[in-house]
Amino acid sequence: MLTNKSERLVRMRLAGFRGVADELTIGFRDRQSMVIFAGNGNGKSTVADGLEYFFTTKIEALRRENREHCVPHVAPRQATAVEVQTTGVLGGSIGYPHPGSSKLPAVNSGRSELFLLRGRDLAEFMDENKREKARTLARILGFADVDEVRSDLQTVMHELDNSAIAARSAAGQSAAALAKAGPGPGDAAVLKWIQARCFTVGVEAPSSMATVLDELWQPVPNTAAVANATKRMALASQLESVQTPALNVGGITGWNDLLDSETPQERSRRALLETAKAHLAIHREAVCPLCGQAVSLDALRTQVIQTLRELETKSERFRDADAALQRLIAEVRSVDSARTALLKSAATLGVVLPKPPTAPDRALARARDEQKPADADTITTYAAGMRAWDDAARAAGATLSAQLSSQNTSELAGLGSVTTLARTWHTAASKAVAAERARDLARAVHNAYAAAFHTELDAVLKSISGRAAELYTKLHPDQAAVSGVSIEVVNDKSIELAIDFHGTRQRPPNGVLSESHLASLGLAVFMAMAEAVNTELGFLVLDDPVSTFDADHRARLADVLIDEFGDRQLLVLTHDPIFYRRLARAPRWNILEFTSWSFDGGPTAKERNPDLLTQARSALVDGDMQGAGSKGRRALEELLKEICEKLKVPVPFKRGIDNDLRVAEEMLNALRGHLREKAKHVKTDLDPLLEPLATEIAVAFNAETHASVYPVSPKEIEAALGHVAALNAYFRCGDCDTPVWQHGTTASFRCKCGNRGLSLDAAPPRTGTPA
Amino acid sequence: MGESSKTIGRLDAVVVLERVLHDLGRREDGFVTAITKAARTSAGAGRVAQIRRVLETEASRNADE
Repeated sequence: MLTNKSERLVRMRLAGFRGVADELTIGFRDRQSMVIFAGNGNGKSTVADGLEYFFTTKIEALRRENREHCVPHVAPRQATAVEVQTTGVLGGSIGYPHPGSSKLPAVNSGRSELFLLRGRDLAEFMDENKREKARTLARILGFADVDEVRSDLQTVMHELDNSAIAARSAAGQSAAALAKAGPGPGDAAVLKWIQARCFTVGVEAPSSMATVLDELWQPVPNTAAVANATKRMALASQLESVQTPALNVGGITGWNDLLDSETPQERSRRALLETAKAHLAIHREAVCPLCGQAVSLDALRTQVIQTLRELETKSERFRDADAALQRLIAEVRSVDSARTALLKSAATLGVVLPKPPTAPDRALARARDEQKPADADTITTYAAGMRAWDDAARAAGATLSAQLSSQNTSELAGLGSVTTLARTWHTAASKAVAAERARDLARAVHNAYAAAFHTELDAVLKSISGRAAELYTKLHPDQAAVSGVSIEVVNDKSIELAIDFHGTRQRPPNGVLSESHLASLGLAVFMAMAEAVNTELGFLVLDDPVSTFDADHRARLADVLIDEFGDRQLLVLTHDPIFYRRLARAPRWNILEFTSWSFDGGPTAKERNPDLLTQARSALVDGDMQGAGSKGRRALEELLKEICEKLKVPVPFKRGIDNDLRVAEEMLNALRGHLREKAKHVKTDLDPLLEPLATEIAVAFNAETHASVYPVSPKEIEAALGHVAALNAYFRCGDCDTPVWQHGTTASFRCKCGNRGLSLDAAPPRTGTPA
Repeated sequence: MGESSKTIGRLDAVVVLERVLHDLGRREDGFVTAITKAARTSAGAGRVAQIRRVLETEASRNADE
């Protein structure tokens, strides 16, 4: 994965894509941030879709609804393509359908939240429950991949544990048979016994256990009679020492309880998906019932199966119950294979044993595979049958032993039998040790990995929580009652947002915060997350993030974006005029408006000069007096709105949108009155500007109305624009080019670099003066 | 967790595994290479089998030593 945090967007081109039938090209002048303003349905989300598709090869909202066939325009006039040029190496082109094996963008992580935040996703996230939030965050933060590897390590650990149990059981069985035949288990005891017996029978004794275990070492003459007696003696010992295991039926009851506890929603979702799977297995062609376009059945089938699998395997409880059932199946197989081996040996030597009961391992494995309840009676019946078989085997062993004794079988046969049993025991014990070593290694790696995962998760959530709390406070500076914003791990699979609200801990905060405050909180979390996670891209796309915010909060969000994310390139898509204008006033931002949309032509884009004063001056140069006047008036209105808001100038309340759309005159009068009352020193400074502006609002900035009576001269407009520029300069720092209210309150404002200050309470030292 | 904070949040499963093995005292060796290679393969039953094989081989090798 490439890492170049400064990588920014330079240009993007959409062709035959979503709402663009022909083509749309957007250039990011100076690689700077951009705000795109467009009414609903004018195509702004197509831009976000284009970047999402390019960088992740899918559009998540379409994927969720199985409508990925809607990526191309319904009637494209060009081949569908998204081209992106960046300042680094991430640029390129992608068509539809994207060829899986071709060169794809380097950031093909599938996690659009790294760089794209949509208002609608924010609302969905806040409504998600703890588990859904955990899944969403895990996907965004890359924890899902880590958790998958952890889960695989856990599966391996369980498998090796099962193998170790089976191997240890087999070793125990061999040790018991060896003990029954003479020596107890243990190399020294076995060697001592064999050496003594060799001395008795007069053959050369082995010097070490290695010799005993060497298949070439034959302590007894290789005659058929002795060999047969040896084998029968070994079998007798094995049969007499058969150990009946206690098969734990809890493995089945736990499994069945888990399936019983499935919620109706989970069950109905699973049933629906099963039906879809069956349907897809039969049908070979399909069209979307809404738009009539062909649907990729393969893609749909894969998605259904994947979703089913996710539903069934994501739960930790499922994994525990599954592991217990697997262990039971492994035990049954181990028990069965040991009995089958004994039965086979006995048959070879002419010893008749009853047929062991049929092992229920296949039925249990089928129940596990199909995730259906298993019949607990099968294991109870099997255990009872096995006990009866073991009794019969022990009895047969005792009878065989007695026969061998009565036949006065030679000492040689006993020596051969113990040698055989010792070899079997040694092999089984070695396998058990190897299996236990592998299991211990798997456990060590899994436990360390799981611990690292949790440590990492805690660290990331702590970091994101801190930044989210900071951003939330900036969005709601007056809300002292809310603090301690954090993302908390509820348990292994659950994450929840929490806040301190009037001294009480609220987790989740949905019960006490309004919809807009919840949206703010979600926005703060996602912005913090994108900032922490996004190490590849230097840009962030926000698609309609402010739908539930009032005018104040829209303005604050704009300020936060400008101030806190200045080191990133932002692409903001909005239909909100206030939010748009606020961002458009930020230094160096690109401005684009989609004024309309048509089926054949797509969005009609118009680039705007970011600065209304510059626009006014350009109009003046072009001789467009009315345009210069109206743009000058708009520039003054925007400026006065910001000043009134920051200096908390009281203006009469207006209902609805009118409260956000003020005319310059009333704001100017309100500002003058406020300064007269609260900050005479500022009024003294500004009077040389505010007094002429009061007249200019009615004349120079009202050129259209006055055109027929008193034509306005270019000089008058130029003077008025100069006054607006000077008013703006009064409230900005000449060094860092940020507003004087960047930090602090009306009692003591400071710009970003701190060189420019302003206080309404007293006249502080200042470096800037009105022009 | 060593340098994890540098790439905080942008977790790579294999990087985490390498770091864990390093913390367990394993440097770059055949085992580290084999298990990280197994972890890099696509998720599914094949990966489980590969990881299991690597762990069994390593446990057996340790026993022989």
